[in-house]
Amino acid sequence: MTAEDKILPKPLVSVRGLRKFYPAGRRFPWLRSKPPILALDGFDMDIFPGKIHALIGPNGAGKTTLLKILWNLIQPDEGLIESNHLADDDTVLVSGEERGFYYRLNGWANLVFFGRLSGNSRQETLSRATQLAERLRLSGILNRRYQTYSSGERQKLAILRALLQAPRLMMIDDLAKGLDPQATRELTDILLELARDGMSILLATHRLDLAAQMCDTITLIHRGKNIATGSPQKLSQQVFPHRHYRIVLSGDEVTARKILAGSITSDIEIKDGHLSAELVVSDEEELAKLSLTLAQNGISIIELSSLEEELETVYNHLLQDSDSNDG
Amino acid sequence: MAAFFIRDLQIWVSYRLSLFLDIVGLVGTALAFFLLGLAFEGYIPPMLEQYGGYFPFVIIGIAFFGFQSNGLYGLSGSLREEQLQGTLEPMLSSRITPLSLSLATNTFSFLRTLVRAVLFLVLGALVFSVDLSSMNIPSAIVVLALSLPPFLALGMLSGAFTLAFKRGDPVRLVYGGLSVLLSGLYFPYQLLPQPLQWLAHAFPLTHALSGLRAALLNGASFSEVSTQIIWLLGMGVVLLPLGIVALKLGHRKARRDGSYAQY
Repeated sequence: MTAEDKILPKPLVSVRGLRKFYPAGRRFPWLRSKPPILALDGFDMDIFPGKIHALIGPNGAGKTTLLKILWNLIQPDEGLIESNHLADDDTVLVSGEERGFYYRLNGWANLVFFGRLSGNSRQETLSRATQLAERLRLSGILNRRYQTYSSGERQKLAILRALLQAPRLMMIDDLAKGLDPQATRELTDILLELARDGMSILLATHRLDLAAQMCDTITLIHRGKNIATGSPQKLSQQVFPHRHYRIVLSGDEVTARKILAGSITSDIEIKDGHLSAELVVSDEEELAKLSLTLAQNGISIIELSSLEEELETVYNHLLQDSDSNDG
Repeated sequence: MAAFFIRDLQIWVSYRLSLFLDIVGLVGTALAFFLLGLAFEGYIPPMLEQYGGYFPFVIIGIAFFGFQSNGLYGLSGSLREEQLQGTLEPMLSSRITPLSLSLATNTFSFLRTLVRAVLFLVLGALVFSVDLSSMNIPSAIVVLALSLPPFLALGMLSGAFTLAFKRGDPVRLVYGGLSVLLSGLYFPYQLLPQPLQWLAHAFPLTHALSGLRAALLNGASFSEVSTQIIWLLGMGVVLLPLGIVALKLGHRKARRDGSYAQY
């Protein structure tokens, strides 16, 4: 058992070697079928309890296929899905689409219908929905017909319906699609709260800013393959192995220039009597050595801040690498 | 089942104008066929005399035809509507079985059709003087009840096509069309050429309507409608397992192709 195995809990869901082909159909019955479309190509992934996991990738990468396979609505052709005592109704999928409810019914009637389909009585559904509506700040609108809801209210109602099942894994396809900043913030707050309560959340999204901000783990899927998985920081380090910092110093400029000569990526600026520069080091050890040398030469470090690469830059690099490896 | 019934009732009630037009349509249809009967009074085939004329014959047909329509189109129509509304996948994720789904999506519409059928009969008797004085209600109930399984089974076959191929359902297109022509809905199938009369026996609607007419207009007892009862029973026994298997295969294909949400 490695040290990492000791730290990580057992995954809630483990996906190994998942492959899925879609039939491409044929134009006429007497013509040969077109080759099938490969949606997932040996996809691997682990989802851990109580964590928010983002699935990012271009359109057609296989995100929705994966979510629907995990929801048991699509049958994989190959591969293994192992879950840690996860029952069928422990998994729910919330779609970012604006459909999925009966337009002529109000919020309560919709919730009661789907609640009863999940095996709960009308009373149980209403009582649970009341509590959840309070928590999601939806109480005021549930008497209105679904057709009058805004996009944000529709997504929140879809989350409320999912929560009626008390799932252990909630999957969201196209998170925050078409939502304004306030509605997005409300939605992300709700998800962070649910994760704090122990729910695992798997988000398929194009919103890289949200993925970087709220997810513990990000998986980049491209052409049906998992091309990178890790925390936003780990992915950044994978693409940019050197660490970038902004350093602000106080002391002699010439000495500082000499010490930092091989490590700075920008010219040293002088601002408010302090020296400021961007620094690149290969690891923490190199940074510690530099700090010590600066201190020994009478230069003190006023500020040291890490300069993380934007997730979008990391994403584009990883996609390009994957394309060039395939090509 | 109850959840579907309440949902369908709530949606139906929400369309108030349609509710009103349903009633207007019912009266209009009865009146149109009554006038048609009057217009051709002298040319009506003698075999209709046993029913008291053309209007009593046709009112039973149009009153009870809705049961076949519901059975045949109910599930596939409902699946398609759920696909369009995006509610099919959340519904199927509740692991509802194909048989339960078929029954559940038809429950409300069957009850609505029953109410419509009764209203047609009441209207016929009170306004258009159809003689229902000798009707045998238990016989009519048995014939109607036995006609439901074959109608539902045909609906399952149709639903299976909708799930698997989305459009071009032959059950709906071929069977639905032919049954209107051959089953004695608007005219006695005995007027058709002999080969078509034989073909007419392959349609549950033929036996359902013939049994219901005998029970409601002539007061036929169980033994007098036993032929229709045996036909309907036999069709139910054969078609219902076929429908269930077809629906399961349709679900399996949709799950394999990942096409539940496609329409």
